[in-house]
This record gives sequence, structure tokens and C-alpha cells, in this order.
Amino acid sequence: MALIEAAGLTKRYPGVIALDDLTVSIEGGIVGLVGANGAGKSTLIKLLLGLIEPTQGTAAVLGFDVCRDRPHLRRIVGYMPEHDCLPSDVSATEFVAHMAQLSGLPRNAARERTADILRHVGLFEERYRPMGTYSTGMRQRAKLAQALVHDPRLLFLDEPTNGLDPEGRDEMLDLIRRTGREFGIAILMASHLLGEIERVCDSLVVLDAGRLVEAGPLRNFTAATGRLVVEVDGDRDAAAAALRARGLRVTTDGRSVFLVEPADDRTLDLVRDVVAELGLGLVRLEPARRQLEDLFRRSEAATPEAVRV
Amino acid sequence: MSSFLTLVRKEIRDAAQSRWLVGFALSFGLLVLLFARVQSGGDVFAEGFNRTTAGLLNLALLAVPLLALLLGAAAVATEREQGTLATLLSQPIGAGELLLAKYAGLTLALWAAVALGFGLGGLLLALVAPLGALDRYLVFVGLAAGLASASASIGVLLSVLLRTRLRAMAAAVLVWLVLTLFYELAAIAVALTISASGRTLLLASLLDPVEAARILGILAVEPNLEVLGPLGAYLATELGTGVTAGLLASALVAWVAAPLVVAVAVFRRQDV
Repeated sequence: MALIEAAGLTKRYPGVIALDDLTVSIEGGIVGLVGANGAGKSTLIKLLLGLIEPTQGTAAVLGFDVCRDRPHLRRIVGYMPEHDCLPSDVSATEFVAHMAQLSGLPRNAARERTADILRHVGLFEERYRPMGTYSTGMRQRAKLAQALVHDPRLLFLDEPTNGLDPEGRDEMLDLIRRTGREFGIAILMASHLLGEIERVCDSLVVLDAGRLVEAGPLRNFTAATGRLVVEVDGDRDAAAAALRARGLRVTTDGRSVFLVEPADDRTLDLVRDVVAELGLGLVRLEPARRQLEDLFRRSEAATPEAVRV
Repeated sequence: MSSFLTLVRKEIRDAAQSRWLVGFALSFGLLVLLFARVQSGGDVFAEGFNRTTAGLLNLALLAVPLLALLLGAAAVATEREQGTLATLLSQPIGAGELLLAKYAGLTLALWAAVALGFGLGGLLLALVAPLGALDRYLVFVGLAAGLASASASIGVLLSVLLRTRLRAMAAAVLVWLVLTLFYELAAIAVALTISASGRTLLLASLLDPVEAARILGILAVEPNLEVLGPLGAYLATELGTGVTAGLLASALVAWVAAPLVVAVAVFRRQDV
């Protein structure tokens, strides 16, 4: 059974299509939902949680229809919203235990589970402090704790590193990775930061302006391109010209790095020989891989104002 | 059901920590004693419950709806503004269930405040004053609780319809002004100028929960045509006290149910 299946899923607001005819099937693991701000990531998560009604189309999460089976669905998913959702005058223990009880846990079980989960996210020592006194990182952890407390099968994380400094971001990404790997909880993580996605996720769903750009395992997005990346220390143009003279296709990108096709053993030898003949330093020579950024460059060119109506 | 009760308990706990409700309860407890003293004309507490109840009625008709409307208006709008609404609704609880739980918790807290405020004052008064009109005093306390329920219901509807807390609370104050002040003035104007039909006057008294509670309160305390006002006087004369009380009590119940039903219907369709 797929983790998430959507068919023709569309959400329109007056004047804008937030999500446009999304058809996708997402398998388990840690899934990155990537897109620029306004791409439709939060809209998709809210649709999958049944918090908003689709204008068109259907979606199922873990086999439950998002419109018809909301109570069942919400017992097995957790949601960490992008925006702040924590009351400032309440302690993390009180808040997380309340959410646990709301999800159906008896009071004592909720208390025990809250202590466990606050330990997992690293807030155990600070659990009785009012959340208004927490740092941004601690508040993000408390948000994650309330999403995890009822032991969901799937976790929706909307921009979980929002507002965090680099160290806090690393810690949060590590926590997400451990939650997915050690607890075996499937995760759909929305982010506009490609670096984060690359570090944590197994697969990707890429949205742009409400449309699906591409979906699949992360390795597909970073597969070898059949070209070599060459970086030289010295006269790059001379090296490129020499390689072209030997029948290779060479693309330059304005820096000391350029791309050479095809990426086979003969080309590797040729590059080595040319660089040696010209007396240049060879800084880098490796197979070129696709970059996640390429997806957005392509989609920008393909769909100029696709979602405006 | 457990989620529903969890939310109700949370609402009551929050209300108990709220300065509004505690302040309200304490103020009214003191006012009961103050009214008893002032209205006894120096002979402390000599007049007991009846005069105290009559004096408190007008004050309660102003304060109880204002408090209940404001707290009701804040109920959903605050959650929406703080971003907690989406988190709550991501739990296995339906939108209608959530709204009803919030309303139930708020209403129980208001009842507790009314019972505590008027009850404590009444208890102290009972220690030093005649107990002859205690039954009327209890009817008055029940009426205040009923009015609180109806006003909270209207407040919750405003909270659902108006998406920010500020707008919902401003609308609550406007509704309060209309229900407590302008409505009565408009009723007098109608009665004096266009000699409205009996049906119009009957309808007019049912369409304002505060007016309905006012007439009910006067009927319970001291049914006097001069005090009842144009609508109350007409009803008491034409329909008799019993039928009037039944009609007005039904109107109060309808004022509890109708806004709540509309609020649930709207809230279920709203995007979070």
C-alpha cells in the first residue's frame, strides 16, 4: 500500500490555484516535499490531513480517504505545522500530554508517553518551563514532540527547520533522521531548502507553482549525467579549446569548472593528458551529477505563469 | 468522546485561570452584599433577597451577556490567530465536536462563575437576612446562567464567522450594545409610534435574549406592568404570566441552540 496517493488533486482559492491537478503515488521512508515558497507544499499537507477540502480530485493517506476517513486518518498521522502553534504560558509537558489525550491516550499513558517523547526530542530537562521562555529551536522540538506523542505511522513536517540557526538546523535534521530510521515512522517533510532534503530524505516530490515537477527516489535526482566535471587551476579557456580540438563536447559555466562529454575512460585519459600538456593544475575530475536546483531551473522555463487564473 | 471531554476539561481549566471569570465571580459576590445593604436603606440586610434580586437584575442583564459574548467571541478566533486551531484539528476530533466542546467548557465555566458570584453573596446574605424570597433569588441565578449560555452561543458564532480575534470581539461589543440598549429603545419607539400588532410585539420580545431574560426576571421577582416595559406588559396582559414565562424560556433555549447550530455548520465547511 502506498503511503500517499493523490489523483487530480486540486485546490483553488479565489484568483489562485494553490495546487493544480496533482497525481502522485508516494512510498514510505522519509519523503521530501520540495518547492519554493508558495509552491503548494503547505496546501498539500493540509489537504492530506483533511484540514481543507480539495476543489477537485481525491487523495488517500495510508489507505484512508482524506475527506471520508478523517477521524481514522488522524489517529495514525502526526502534524508539525510551519507556524507557531504553542501557547506561551503552558509547559511542554502540559501541552504535549494534552495533545496525547486528545489523540485518545488515557491520562496516565499520555503522561508517560509525553515524558518519553520529550526525552527523545531533547526537552526532558526543560519540560516544566513555560514554552514562552523557550528558544526557537526548543519550540520547534516541542512542536515535533506533540506531533509524535501518539506514535503515528506517518508524520507531516511543514518547514521543520524554520527560523533555526545552522547548529539548530543540524540538530533538527538529525532528530528527523533518527525519528524516521529508529522509530520506523514514515515522514513527509516540506522544505524549500534543497540541502536539507538531500541530507535527510530517501525520495522527493517536487512542486512548483502548484504543479508537480517530478517525484521519485532521491538517487534519480542526483544521478550521473553522462558528463565529467573538470576544474583546473590556470587557463580554463585553453584547456576547453584543447579538449574541443580532440572531438569532445565542452560546456563552460563562467567559472574554472566546465563539463565534458562523454564521461568514459577515454575522456578521462584525454583530460589528464591535455591538462598535463598545458601545464595546468587539475583540481577536480569527476562524473557530473544532477543538482536539485536544476529541477527548478527547468520548471521555471517550462511553466511561466501556470497557476495564475 | 474522550477527546471531547479532554477539550471540555481544558476549557474549564483555562477559564479557571482566566482573570475575567474570577474577577466576575468576586465582583458579583460583593455586589450582592452591596445591593442588599444599599437597598435596605440603612437597616442592614433588612429587605433580604427580594429587593436585592430586583436590584441586581438590571446589572446582571448588562454584565452577564457582555462577559459571555466576549469569551465566546474569543473562543475560536484566538485559536485560529495563535495557530493552534490547525494543530487541534489534526487530532482525531471533528470540527463540530471541537466547537461544541469549546462551547460546553466555556458555558460550564460561566455557570460556575455565576453560581460562585451570586451563590457566595446569596449564602452570606442568607446568614443575616430573611429567607422569604430565596426561591426568587435562585430563579434569578438560573436566569443569569441561561442568559450566559445564550450569549456565549452568539459569541461563538461570531468567533467562527469573523476570522480575527479583534474583529470577533468588536462585533461582540456591537451585538451587546444592540441587545442591551438599542433593542429596548427601538421596542419603545415602535410601541409609541406605529402601534405595532400583538404578533409584532410578541416576536420582538422573543428576538432578543436579553429582553426575554429581563421580562422573565421581572416576572419572577415582582410582576409589575410598569417595570415590565412595553413588550413585557403586552405579553403579561395578553397571554398571562404562565404562558409568557413558557414562551420566553423557550426563546432563551432557542437562542442557545440556533447560533450554535449555525456555527457548527459554518465551521465544518471552513478551511483551516
